[in-house]
This record gives sequence, structure tokens and C-alpha cells, in this order.
Amino acid sequence: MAEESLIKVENLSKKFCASLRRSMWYGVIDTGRAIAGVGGHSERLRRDEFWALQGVSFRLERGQTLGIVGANGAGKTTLLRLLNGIIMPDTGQVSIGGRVGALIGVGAGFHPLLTGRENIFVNAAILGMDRRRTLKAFDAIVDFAGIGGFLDAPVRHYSSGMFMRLAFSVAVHCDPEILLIDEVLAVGDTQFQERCFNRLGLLRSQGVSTILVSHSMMHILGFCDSALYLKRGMVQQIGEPETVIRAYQDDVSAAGVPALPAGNSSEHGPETDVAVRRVEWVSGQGEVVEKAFAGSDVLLRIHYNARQDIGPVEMDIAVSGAGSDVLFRTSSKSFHKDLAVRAGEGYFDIRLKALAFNNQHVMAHAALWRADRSQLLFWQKDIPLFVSGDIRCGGRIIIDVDWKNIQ
Amino acid sequence: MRYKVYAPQAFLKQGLFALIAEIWNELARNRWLTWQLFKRDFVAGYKQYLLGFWWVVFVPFASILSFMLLNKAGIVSFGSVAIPYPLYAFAGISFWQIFATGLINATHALVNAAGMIGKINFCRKSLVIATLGQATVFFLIQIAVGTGLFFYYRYIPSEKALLIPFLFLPLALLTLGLGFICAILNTMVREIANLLSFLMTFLMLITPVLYQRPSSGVLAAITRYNPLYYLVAFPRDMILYGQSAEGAGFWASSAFSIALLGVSLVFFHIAESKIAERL
Repeated sequence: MAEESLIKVENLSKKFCASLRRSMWYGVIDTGRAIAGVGGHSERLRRDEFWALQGVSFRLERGQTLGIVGANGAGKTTLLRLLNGIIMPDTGQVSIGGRVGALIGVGAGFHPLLTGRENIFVNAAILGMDRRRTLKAFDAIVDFAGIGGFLDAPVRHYSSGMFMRLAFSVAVHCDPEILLIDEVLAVGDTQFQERCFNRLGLLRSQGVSTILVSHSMMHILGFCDSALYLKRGMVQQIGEPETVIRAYQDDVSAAGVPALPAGNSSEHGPETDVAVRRVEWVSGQGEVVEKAFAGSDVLLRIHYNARQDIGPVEMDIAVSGAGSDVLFRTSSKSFHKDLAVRAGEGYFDIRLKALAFNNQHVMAHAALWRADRSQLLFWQKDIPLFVSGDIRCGGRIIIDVDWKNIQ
Repeated sequence: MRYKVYAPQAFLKQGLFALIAEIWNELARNRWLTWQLFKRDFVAGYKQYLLGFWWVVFVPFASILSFMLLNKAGIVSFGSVAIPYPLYAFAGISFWQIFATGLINATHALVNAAGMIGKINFCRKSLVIATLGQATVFFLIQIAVGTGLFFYYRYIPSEKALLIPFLFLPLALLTLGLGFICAILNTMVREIANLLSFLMTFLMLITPVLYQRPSSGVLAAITRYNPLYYLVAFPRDMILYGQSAEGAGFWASSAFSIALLGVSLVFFHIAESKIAERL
């Protein structure tokens, strides 16, 4: 089966230059060297250069789909451009055993002044189709894009959705044996997306090998036979999509958890009868944690010191997402919980049950009031928590689901 | 299974003949693409300009007129021309425009398509060749206008004017060869295009396009080794008089143009993979 590998990537590396001016200069030098037939030291870094990809190796068999995951800047797009032959590697090599179709920058070859019909011919030619094949696929392209009466209008009068549909349509009709996809499954309305997925499914069933770069773990899990996790230009893990995605998400959650706030004031100011000493997250098992799991319980513990007896109090809590939009808000009063504070040390435990957040950073906020709301006793903002998700689910929240088929 | 291999400096291992064969195959395979790219530029250009192609005719006429004014004022001298000067000048400048328009367009070819080059793998040589198509169309328009001019002056050109397609070819090849080189250079140093536009008028004056070859002095020496002169003067003389004293220079310049095109194609082929990541 080894000779059935459509893509062979061996020890692939690519470096880029962070400084534009120097990059141009290196370009002149490298080109000069190449013309003179003198190989440069492409495996060494010069000033301001960095490895965008380093030592990447993998194979892809006919009909298989490989998903590539990784943070922004991990080298995913660079890898696709190398596979497509747009840029050349600095070390290692790429061997491609079939005609490549790429859904990278679809619509890049479109000219706004030309009509849809004219653009189809130009773009198909750019993607490697000759006249005969373009004519054969023409009706299918128009049909698939669903642009109907706009075929002979300049594409600059198209809506952005129509433009993308036409561009995508041309790209998926140039019958590739290898398909490179860079996050373009989110084109057009649901109806068009459905058509795209079906088209990709058809290509897969015809033995097309696919490489899919996506930030949507759902797509990776749904379409890919294996996955590759790129981290700072290197292959961190390659294997079963579930395992790879789990490793990637664990990494993401480990990075980027901000430090817990130290408490708003350790001393009592004139306005503060209750001072927050410390806040922490506590798991269901009673351990202090930095992240929680979707579906499990977590306690927000707020240690305080009260200067005097306060009596009945009410607490508001809220949880916000990355964009500081409030995802959830409630108050102890709404739940008819009677709380009271006496002088001295103590802590509140606020139990958040069966967390419904999916793989995201959230911020909790808590405010304590006298029961008659005559005084704000403390307002603790931006308490960070990472809720690791359920890899079976995409989106930002989790809903427990079940399926039944009744016929 | 046959693999297409991308590796650093792969062309060093394959040797010159394999490289040339590869370039030739690429060009042959992409004829349809080249045609489509030409059509795209042509149609888009036609839609964009109010004056359409009148612009193409206007530029040479403006040059000829200003030159006639300079002559009248005694600033420059044409030398002795046996036929109406506008005919002489128009025939020369029509050929010159192939070079001037073609080279400037070719120089911009890669930079203008930067977005595409960075995202799609296609034959970038087609981009450059397609720009020459534009210059060819302009040339055809000028032939039509020139025919009208001959009628106006009631001057009958030589029957050798029918050889125009062949007379045109060497200059087109020279333009293409220089175009490949300038297109690459312009991606690295953007000043190249500006510099060329600036140089073009100067080049036209020293080539001499609008007046006869001087017999002595610095300009005569420069003209002697300037292939552009022979590639413009020989076709012009053939059309106007049916004979030319510059035959030897024309053939030598033609050979030079073909050789230059070959070298520049190899240069372009090697350099093009380096520019995609820097555009």
C-alpha cells in the first residue's frame, strides 16, 4: 500500500523573515545564488529569520482525509502552500502523486469588472482547466453556484455571498485528486453549505485525498480519518482525530489562563465593611483548580473579612464570555436563598452546577449587597475559569442531546 | 506512481536541458491559460477606459506632433527624410510602442497579480506573456490608423509591408525577454517600474525612433550596438521603401533577442518560486 501514498512529506522545513526589507534582500541573494547554481545554507537561520515549519513528516493515502489543527501562526497555512507548490521548502521535500485542487483563497483570480461567465473561464484556466474541461463543467458550475440571472453581470455587482459561491463552485469543479482546504466550509447560506459538504463527500467517495485545515473541531472530527497537531511549526502529535484534538485542547487551556485576582482590597477602606481576601475555584472533589470540565460542578469560593455584623445580604453573580457579553446572570434573591454576614472571617461557596460551557474561557463576577440594596459591600470582577469542552460538540455551550427515530 | 517533487534547489539536480524541456512543456501546456489571462486584461481594460483604444492612437500622435514642433523651432533636426515626416515617424513609433508598452506592462505583471500568486499555483509565465498580447493589440490598431495615414498622404508603401507579422516578431521576443527579467526584478525592488517609465522616453531618443541614425558622434556609437535600433529601423524601412541598409544588424539583433529570451526564461523559472513568498 506504500506506493498508494498520494502525499509524502519528509522532514519539511520552511523559514520566513520577520523584517520586510531584509526579506527582500534575502530574496535577491537567494535568487542570485540559485541562478549561479550555488546552493545556499537554506538549513541555517539568518538574522530576523524564524522557522515557520520545522521537520514536518507525514503521508496521506488515497481517499483519506487528514485534519490539521493548531493555534494561529502554528504553520498550518504555510504547510498548505508548500503542499500546493506555491512556495518551495528550505529543507526536506514534498512529493505529490496527483492533480491538486486547492480551496485556498478562492476567488483570488476573479476580476471585478468581468462578468460571471468571463470569470468562470479565466478562473478555471488559472486552476488548471483547459477549454474542453471548462466547457464540460460550465453548466454544473453555474448550477452549483446558483447565481442564475447574474451570470452576465460584472461580479463587482454581486453580493459577497454570490461572489464566494461562484468562486467556490469553480474551485470544486476542477476534479482534483488531492484537495487542500483552508477553512472555507463556512461559505454562503445553509443551503449552499449543504451543497458544499455533499460535493466534498462525493469527491471523497471518488477517492480524492483531502487535507483540511480548520479551527472547527467538529469538522475535523466529522470528516477526518486522522489529524495532525501543529505547534509552533512542529508536529506535536499525529494520529486519531479524538486523541489529537484532546491534546490540542488541553494545550490551549493550559496556556492563556489569566491569574486569579488577588482580592480587591486586603484592608478595610472607609466604604468597605466587607473585604475580599482571596477567590478560588474548587472542584467537586474539594481541590483548588484552574479549569473545570463541561458537565461537572465547580465552586466559586470567595474568602472575606467583615468588619462588623452586616446582617442579611444578597449576592449577584454573572458569567461572561470572551467578548465580555454576559452569558449568565442571577442573584441569590431570585433563588430565595437567605444569606447573612457576621463580623470576622468567612467564605462564600457558590456552586455552579453541570457547567454548560464548551471549551472556552469565561469570567465570573460576584457582587455582595446589603439585603435592602442600600450598600454595595464588594464587587469582585473578572474571575477567570477555563471550561474544557466535550470534543463531540462544537459551539460555545453544551446541551445534553439524545436521538430517537420513530417511523 | 509519478510524483511531482517540491524540494529546495531541485533544478540544480536536473540539469539545464531537463530544465529547458520543463519550461517548454509548461508553456505549451498553459497556452489556454495565457489566452484567458490576455482576454481578461483586454476585456477589463476595454470596459474601464472612457476613450477606449483612442488613447493608443493619441500617444504616438502627440509624440510626433511635439517632435515636429521641436524641429520647426530648430531645436532638433530630423535629418533628410524623403517621404512625409509623419509617415516616417508613425511607422517607427508603432514598432517602438510594442517595446515601450509591452515592457512596462510586463514589468507590472507579477506585482499586479500578487494576491493570486500567493494563493494559487499556476503558470506565472503566462501572466507576463499575456501582457505582450496587449501590446500586440495596440500594434494592430496602429496599423489600421497607419493605413489611413498612408491614404491621406497618398503614399504607397512597399509590398514588403505584408511581412509585418515577421518584422514584428524579433522585437516582440526582445520585449518578452526583457519583460521576464524586469517582472522578477520589480517584485524585489519596486522602483524598477518607475525607473523604466522614466527611462523609456530617454531610450526612445537615443534609439533614434523619430529621426534618422546620426553618422558620427556619441549617439552614432550607441546606435551601432543598440539592438532596439535595428529592430525598429529595419521594419520601418522595409514598409516605407521596401529595402533597408540595416539588414545585417536586424538579423544579429534577432538572434540576440532569441538568446536573451531563452536566458530570461531560465532566470524567471528559477526565480519565480522565490518570489511567491515575498509578494
